[in-house]
Amino acid sequence: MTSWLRIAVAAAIAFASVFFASRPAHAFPWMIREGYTGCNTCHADPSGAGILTQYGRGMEEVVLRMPYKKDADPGKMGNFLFGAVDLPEQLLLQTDFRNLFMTILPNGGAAQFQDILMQLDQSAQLKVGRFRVNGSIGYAPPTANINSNFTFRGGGFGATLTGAPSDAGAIVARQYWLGFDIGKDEEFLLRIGRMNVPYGIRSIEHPFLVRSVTRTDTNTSQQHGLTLSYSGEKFRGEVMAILGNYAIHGQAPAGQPQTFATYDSPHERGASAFFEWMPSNKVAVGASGLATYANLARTDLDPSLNSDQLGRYAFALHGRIAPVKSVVILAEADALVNSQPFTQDCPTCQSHANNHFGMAGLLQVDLEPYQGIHIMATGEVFNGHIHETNNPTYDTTTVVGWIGAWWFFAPHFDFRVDAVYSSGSAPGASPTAQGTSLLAQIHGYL
Amino acid sequence: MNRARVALATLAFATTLAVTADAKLARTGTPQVAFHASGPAGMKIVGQTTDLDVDDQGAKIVIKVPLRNLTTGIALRDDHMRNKYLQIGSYPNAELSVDRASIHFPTGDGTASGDANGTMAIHGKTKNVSFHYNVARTGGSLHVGGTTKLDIRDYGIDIPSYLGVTVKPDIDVEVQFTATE
Repeated sequence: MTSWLRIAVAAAIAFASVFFASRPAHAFPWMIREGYTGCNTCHADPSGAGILTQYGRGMEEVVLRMPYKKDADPGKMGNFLFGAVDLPEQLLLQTDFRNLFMTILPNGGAAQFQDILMQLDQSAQLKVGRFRVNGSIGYAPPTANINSNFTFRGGGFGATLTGAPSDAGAIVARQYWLGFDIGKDEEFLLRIGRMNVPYGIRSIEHPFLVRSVTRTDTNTSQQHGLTLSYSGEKFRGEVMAILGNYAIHGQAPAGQPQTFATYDSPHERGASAFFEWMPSNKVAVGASGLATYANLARTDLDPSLNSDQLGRYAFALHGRIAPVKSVVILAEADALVNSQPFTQDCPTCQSHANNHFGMAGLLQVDLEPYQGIHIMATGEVFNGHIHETNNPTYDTTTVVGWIGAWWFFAPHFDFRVDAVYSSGSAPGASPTAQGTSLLAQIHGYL
Repeated sequence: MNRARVALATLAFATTLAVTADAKLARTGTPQVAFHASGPAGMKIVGQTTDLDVDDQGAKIVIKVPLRNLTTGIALRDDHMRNKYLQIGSYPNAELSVDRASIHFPTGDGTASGDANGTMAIHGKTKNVSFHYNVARTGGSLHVGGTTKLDIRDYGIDIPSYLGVTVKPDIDVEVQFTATE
C-alpha cells in the first residue's frame, strides 16, 4: 500500500471514528457514589470493565449520562443499537470505539501530536444456563506518520492476535474466556481464558503509574489464566493463576531455530489476587497481591531490565469512598519489586542483582457537580531504587498530576479532556512524556 | 422517722414508675429509618427516610413511617419503589403497633433492650412481627433503636425486578429516634 493511500485510509478512519463514534464500556470505580460497590451487576467481568450487562446499559442511561428529562425511564435507548434490535437475554453484544487526540508539550521541545484509535472492538457474551462464552475482537490500524509532528496509530498492540502490526494494522483481542457461574446466587464465577489481571483499583486510565508499573491495566496487560471470583454483599475478590500473555512470544536469536523454550521465554507464570471489604455501600477498602516469574524479562516494557529471568512482585492497599454523592475519593498505594539474577560486571567483576524496589501511589478525587459531568483531579507518585547491572544504582522519582473533565453528553456517547503534567520517569511505566500532555477523547458504543 | 423516709421513698419510686408508665411519648429530633435490600451476587440497596411519628395511645404505641420521602439515592428507582411496588398513593405509611407493656423502659438514666412482638402494617396488609429494641434514657429523653427482618411478599408487595436484576424479598429494617416523656 502506498504511503499516500495509507495516509488516506488512516485519515478516513479518523474522521469516521469522530462521526460514528460509540462509547466503550469503561471501568468506573466511582460508581460507588450510587451505592454500587461491586462491578458485576453492570459488567460481565465480575471485577469490572468490559461488556455491559442489560442492567449496566440501563444504569448508564439512568445515573451516568446527563439527563435532559427529569427522572425519565430510559426505555430501550441504552440497549444494543439504541434498542433497534431486541437481543435474547442470554446474549450481550457491544461495539466499542474510542479515539484519543493527544498534544505532547515536552519540556524544552516542540509540540508533538498523536491521534490514537485506542479501541475499535466488538464484544459478545453468550450465557447458557451457568455457562458463559465471552470475548472481544477488534482492529488496530497501522501507524501513519502524517508529518514530523503528527502521528496516527492504533492502540492495543500488546493484545494482538496477529503479532506486531503490519501495514494493514492488527487484529486485537483483549479478552476471551469461558466461564461457569457457581453458587445459589451465582456469586462465584470460574473462568479460563485471557482476562484482566485482578489487582488494584480497576479504572480506565491505563497510564496511571499504579497500573502501568504493576502491568495490571485493562488496555493490554491481560494475561491468560484461570480465575475464581466472589461477589458478596460485604466482600468481593478474585484470584488468578497466571499462565502467561500469549499475545506475545519470544524470538530466537538471528540464525537460530525457534524452540518452545525461546517462544515461551517471556510468558509470566504466577498468581494475583484482589480483595475488597465493603462495610457500607459507600466505602470499599481492599488489598491486592501479584507474584510472577518469567524466563525472559519484557525489556520492551521496561528497558532498565536485563534480558534475563525476572521475578515480579507487587502488593497494594486501596480504597474507595463516597463521603457525599457528588464526591468520590480513590486511593491506592503499591510496593513493588522486580528481581533479576546476579550478574557479574567485568573487568571489575563486581556482582550486581538487577533489582528495582519501588513504591507507587495514586489519589484521585472525582467530583460530579451535575449528573453526567465529572471533574477529576489526580495525583500520582512513583519512587524507585534501581540497581542496574552496568549502571550505578540510582533513585528515581516521578510525579504526575492530572486535571480532567468528563461529559457523558448523550446516550452511548461521552467526551473527555485531560491535562497531564509528568516529571521524572518510572521504569516500566507507560511512556509518558516529561512535560505536559493535553488529551481529548471521544467515545461511544452500540 | 425511718418509716416515714421509707414510705416517702416508696411513694417517690412508685410515682416515678407511674410517670414512666403513663407519660406520653413524643418524638423529637431527626429520626433515621433505613431498609437494606440485596440483589444477586452482592448487589445492595439502602433506602432511607427521616420521616417517623410516634403515636402514644396509652396501652399501645404506634410507630408510623410515611413512605413518600423514602429514597434509595436513584430517582428512577425511588419512583418505581414508591409508586409501582409500595403504591404509596393507596398505602402511604408503614406502621408498627406495639403493646406498651411489652417494652422495658429503663428506670432512671440507663439502657434497656430486648425482643418484643408487634403488628406491622404495610401495603394494606398486617402481620405479626418480632423485633429487637434498645432504649437509652438520658434525663427526659429516650433514644430508641429497633431492628427487624421482613419478607415483602408477606405484605403483598411484588418482588422488584429491573433489567434482569431481581431484588431478594428479605429486607432488614432499622429505626432510630428520640422521644420525650
